[in-house]
Amino acid sequence: MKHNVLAGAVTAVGCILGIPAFAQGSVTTVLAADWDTLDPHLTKSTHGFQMALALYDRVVALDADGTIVPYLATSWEARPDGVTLQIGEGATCADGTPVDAAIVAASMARYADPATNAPYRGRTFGTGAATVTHDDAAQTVTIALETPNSDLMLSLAMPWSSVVCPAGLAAPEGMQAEPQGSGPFTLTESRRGDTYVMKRRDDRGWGPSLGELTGSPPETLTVRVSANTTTTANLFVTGEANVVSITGKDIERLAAEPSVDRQDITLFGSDGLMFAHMPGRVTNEPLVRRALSHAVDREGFNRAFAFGYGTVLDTLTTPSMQCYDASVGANTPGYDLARAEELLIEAGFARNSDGQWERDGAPLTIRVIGYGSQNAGPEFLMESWRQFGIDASLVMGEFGSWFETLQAMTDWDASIFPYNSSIPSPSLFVAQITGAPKPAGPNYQGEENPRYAEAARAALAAGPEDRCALWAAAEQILLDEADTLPLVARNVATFTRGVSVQMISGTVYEPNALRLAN
Amino acid sequence: MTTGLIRLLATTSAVLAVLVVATFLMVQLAPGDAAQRIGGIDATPEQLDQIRRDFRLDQPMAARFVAYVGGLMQGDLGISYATREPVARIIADRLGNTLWLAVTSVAIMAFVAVPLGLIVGGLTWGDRNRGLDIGFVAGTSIAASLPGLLVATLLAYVFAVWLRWLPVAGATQWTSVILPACAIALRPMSELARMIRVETLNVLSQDYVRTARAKRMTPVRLYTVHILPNVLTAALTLTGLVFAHLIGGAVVIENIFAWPGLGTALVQAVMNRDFPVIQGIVLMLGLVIILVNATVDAALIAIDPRVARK
Repeated sequence: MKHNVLAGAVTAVGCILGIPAFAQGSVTTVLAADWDTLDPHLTKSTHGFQMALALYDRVVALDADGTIVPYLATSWEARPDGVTLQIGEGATCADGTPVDAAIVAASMARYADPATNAPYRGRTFGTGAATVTHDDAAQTVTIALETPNSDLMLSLAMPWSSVVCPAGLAAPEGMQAEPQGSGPFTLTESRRGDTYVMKRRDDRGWGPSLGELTGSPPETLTVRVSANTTTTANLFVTGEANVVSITGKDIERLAAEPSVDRQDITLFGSDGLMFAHMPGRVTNEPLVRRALSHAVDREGFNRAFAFGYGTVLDTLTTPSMQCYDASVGANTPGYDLARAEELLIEAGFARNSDGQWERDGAPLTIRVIGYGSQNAGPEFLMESWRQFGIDASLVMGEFGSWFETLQAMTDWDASIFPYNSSIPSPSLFVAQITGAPKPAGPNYQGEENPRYAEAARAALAAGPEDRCALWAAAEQILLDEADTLPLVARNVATFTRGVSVQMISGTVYEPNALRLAN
Repeated sequence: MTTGLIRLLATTSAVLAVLVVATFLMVQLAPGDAAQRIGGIDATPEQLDQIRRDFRLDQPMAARFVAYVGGLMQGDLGISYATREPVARIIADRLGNTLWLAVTSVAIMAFVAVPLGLIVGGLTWGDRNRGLDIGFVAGTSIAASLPGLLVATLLAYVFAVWLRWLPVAGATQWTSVILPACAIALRPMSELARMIRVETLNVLSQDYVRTARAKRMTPVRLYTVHILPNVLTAALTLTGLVFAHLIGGAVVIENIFAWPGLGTALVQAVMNRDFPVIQGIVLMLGLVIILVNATVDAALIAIDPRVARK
């Protein structure tokens, strides 16, 4: 009786204070940080991507299996150096303007124009120029690339390739906060850093071919902002959100909640051990890199770095990406201290009377750099190597200072590097480890592996039949030469209640596929 | 009094000038390539050059300072590296929320601490109610020593997750402010309540209070007419200082409750190394603190001209 009275009182207070209940037909999700811009060509964050997916259309999309499917384009003819897209009928911008080939071409031309400074232009159009033309009569759009890019179609399915409507092209600055798209939702309420409310368009008669979807699409999509993972989990527990993606210890808490569905998605690309390849650094030597790799227990690292929620893989490419091939990692160094010892001896090192490794009287010194959100991963590396007799030290900072130290190319030997991307293709590694070193070029490890660079160029220029085999061959070179050591692929758990969700990546879902359980 | 106010104005202006120079240097002296930070991991050399031109990073520091001060005069705090939005707009979007949170915190603090301090002071005067005295001191000591992070987490768990009485995060409804405001207010509230109690004990020991009691003045009249006004002078000083402290101290609490104020914007800017936003928010917080302190000083000078002479 007492409990009933207490429960009644609690409920009454909750009602009086106005705890939110879900409106019929609504979905509430949470962003881990506020978006940077609602201009899909200029956004650099996954949060901006998520908003763009709800507010804009693309020419093609990815289905649940990662297959490229029709969207605004009903069919296409793809080549390594371009594509011709057949634009369908019926789509309209939020302001009523019909979306035709001319509008798609104008949007693509703006995205491809170097003056736009679109951060992901290179992923779509490659490093060379791109020419966009259209045919009004045939309703086709043709993209011709100067430099072949086998990821063109995949990248066209990504939010950064969204189609911007004429109103946005006429006043692009306005798109920073006011979207101009033809997407499934329109932004009706915007409170920066807090809440965004989007209404489903009544006239929506088109969309990507995502297969059989059961349930009804939500009338309202509300996006909350919460940078704190525990707070995000609390929003789900209290019913203030019904779709959340989280990492870390809160996963256990949400998994114990009743009536919850869970999807675990591996991020695109592993976190790997990056070595400084600059001349003069000891990690320039392949034998040393391989020895250091053998001295790391990656299962233990997983617990230190990802609380055990990661997946230890032998490849940088993860199963969630195109062209994943586990056999590529057959020669990836496993935890084997005896083998590490042999390799260091082969490299000319010997243990001194204290058991420390040295060569010509100089100790084997490794400087590790790391940042806060890598948890205890950097400490684990340092301790592993210290216990093996290496003079290892660690410099920890926040992401920005780590990033700058990494780019300075002077004072580090090893670091955990997020070989991650928003595009599920092995091409993402190319931008990070080929070409000239920073600051002139994009190469973070300081020196290019010419064999890998050549293999990657061949993969980028390949047709769809050959590209995966060529990417596998390229990655094999990296792993065989111990250029890097794949450590752990991070997993993100998405929890839903009463909603079915199709994830595009670890934290980004396809708004067109949201369905409420009937 | 006029001399005191002029001196206050001069001091405030000098502090403001130092703040402007310090916030400018904070950005200029930050290590690393700002263009690379803005352009991100994939930026090409051409894009970096364009960014340097767009953000005047290719100009000498003196020219940038002149442009910065000139911009400030027109309310232009620069452009965010991360979002390309005017910093003034980012601050304008969020300043109201932060001020609302701070004002609510001060209101909670004042409405709880003043009566509590008065009542406990009255009940424990003359060594009465020793148990209450010890309990009050122990309770307020514990409350004042709890870290804001812990208080916020506990409040969220108890009142939002467990009891479901209040929203757990955001600023979606009027009740959203209650938990973050309580989390911010708890510590200064405990300190203020203790101070009010001590002041109450002091006033109760004064001859004029004894005279008032001898005249059989009712307790309500005694407390409202004689004790409260004497206690409030000290309370006002502390409240002003606490308000300034709350503006800055709300940063952590705002993040725990996903409160869309300057604190969450500041943390996100720090994560992104978005220096113009950091610079703008630090400047704005500094300005608010300077203005609040100046207002409190001016109020004290007006109430008690001896303050100006000191």
